[in-house]
Amino acid sequence: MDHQNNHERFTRLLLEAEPVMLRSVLVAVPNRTDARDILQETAVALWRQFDSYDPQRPFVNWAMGFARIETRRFLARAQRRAQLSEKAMAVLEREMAGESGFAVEVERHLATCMQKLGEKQHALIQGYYHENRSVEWLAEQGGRSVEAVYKAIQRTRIDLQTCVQRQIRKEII
Amino acid sequence: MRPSQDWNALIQKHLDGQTTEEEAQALSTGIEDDAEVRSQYLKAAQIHGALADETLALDVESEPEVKAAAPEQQKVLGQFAWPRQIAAGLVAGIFVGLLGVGMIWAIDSPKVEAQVFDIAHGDFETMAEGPTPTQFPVRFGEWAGNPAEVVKEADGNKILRFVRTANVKGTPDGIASNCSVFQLVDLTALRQQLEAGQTQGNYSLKLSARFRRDASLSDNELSNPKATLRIFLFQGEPESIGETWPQVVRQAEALGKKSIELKPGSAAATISASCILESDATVALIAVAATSGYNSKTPVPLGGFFVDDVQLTVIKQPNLPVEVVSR
Repeated sequence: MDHQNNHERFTRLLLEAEPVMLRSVLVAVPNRTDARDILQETAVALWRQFDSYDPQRPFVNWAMGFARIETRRFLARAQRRAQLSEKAMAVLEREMAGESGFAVEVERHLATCMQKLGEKQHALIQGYYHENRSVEWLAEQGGRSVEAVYKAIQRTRIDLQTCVQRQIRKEII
Repeated sequence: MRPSQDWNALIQKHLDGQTTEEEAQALSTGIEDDAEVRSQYLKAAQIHGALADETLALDVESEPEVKAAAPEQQKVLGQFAWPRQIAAGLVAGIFVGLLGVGMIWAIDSPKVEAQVFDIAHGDFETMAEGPTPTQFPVRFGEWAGNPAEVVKEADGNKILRFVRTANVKGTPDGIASNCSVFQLVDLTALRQQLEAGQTQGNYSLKLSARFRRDASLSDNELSNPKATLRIFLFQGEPESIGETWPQVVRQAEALGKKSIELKPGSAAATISASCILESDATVALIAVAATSGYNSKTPVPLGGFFVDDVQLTVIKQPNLPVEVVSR
């Protein structure tokens, strides 16, 4: 019974922590497939060590320690993509630990900002992020070059960032 | 030092894995030495991370693709739903071999019990013919949402027809990519019943419905329409869910969804979506929908899509011994 209760408790905690962990891993490893591989390794490691988890501590903090280790392991063996340096990642980790304000604002405003995108931008984001379409596929479907699709995705992310920042300013005023 | 615009372009390239070794090195140096570059990078990466979050797809009522050929299969590793599958696997002790690396295995398979949980007008037979209310439902037991109507077929069977896509909250410039019809289901009685039971187990809810697509002039030009089922479990009052829809999905205790592509005139298909029955959930929000297949802010006619026999089943999975095995 204790074993089963452990499963349920672990499941709940993992579900709660997973979005935070994914977003954090994506800062260091922007490729989403890689980030999910890292989260899978992290989930296995967490389950193996769950008996040592102190429930007095926030689970997400405990889990993030494992995610950082798995991220470093991944980067040490992954050579196929240009990555940030270890020092740069350490600096980002410190900055993230001390400042979660913008992440919280993104959480609050991104859905609203998504609604403000034009139809083409919206479809692009949906295809790229939510349907996991490759840029090559999106380019073929849209009759555009791969480079043009990358640029459009990047411009859309900048538009969303600008929109979130505008929403924050509106609230302050 | 690069101008700010350059840094932004480089950061965006890096997020898409497009930077060369030299560019990644230059970006690393910028992040290490310049607080402004660091801040720009974190903001851009947090937008990128949030877009990769599966629940945002639900917020904007977009529908990730599930192939029609395998309506009962969950997506496997590499798709964005995997952490929930891991969690569901740990709780229910099923299907985890699908995760691709043999992470967790159920080592026994005791009897699974299923019990139908009555929902109001699941077969639409006791409803009056005509349109359903076009608003988000505020009370238990009523079908309401985007424009749809109950129609009687030649054999006397009543069925729900999806009329057109719309934005259920009437948000100006809001996305109208689907025609969703919702019902709020009170889980209180079910919880009491389960709590009164003597046996231990894990419970899940399976929502199923039979969809059909007739040939129709109004929607035969849609390129990629789908029929979709969604179930969300919440803790709270029913009226509060509509007030904050769709953002409220981020507070869902559990969720499940399934889509199927239907060709005009093809045979009716029953699909199901399941979620873990969380012990503190008090309300289930179920949604049947037909989607246009693209995001439009303009309503799209959907004359040929129908749904019938919406059913909620409580599945009891006895406590299973599961073990983690090495990779």
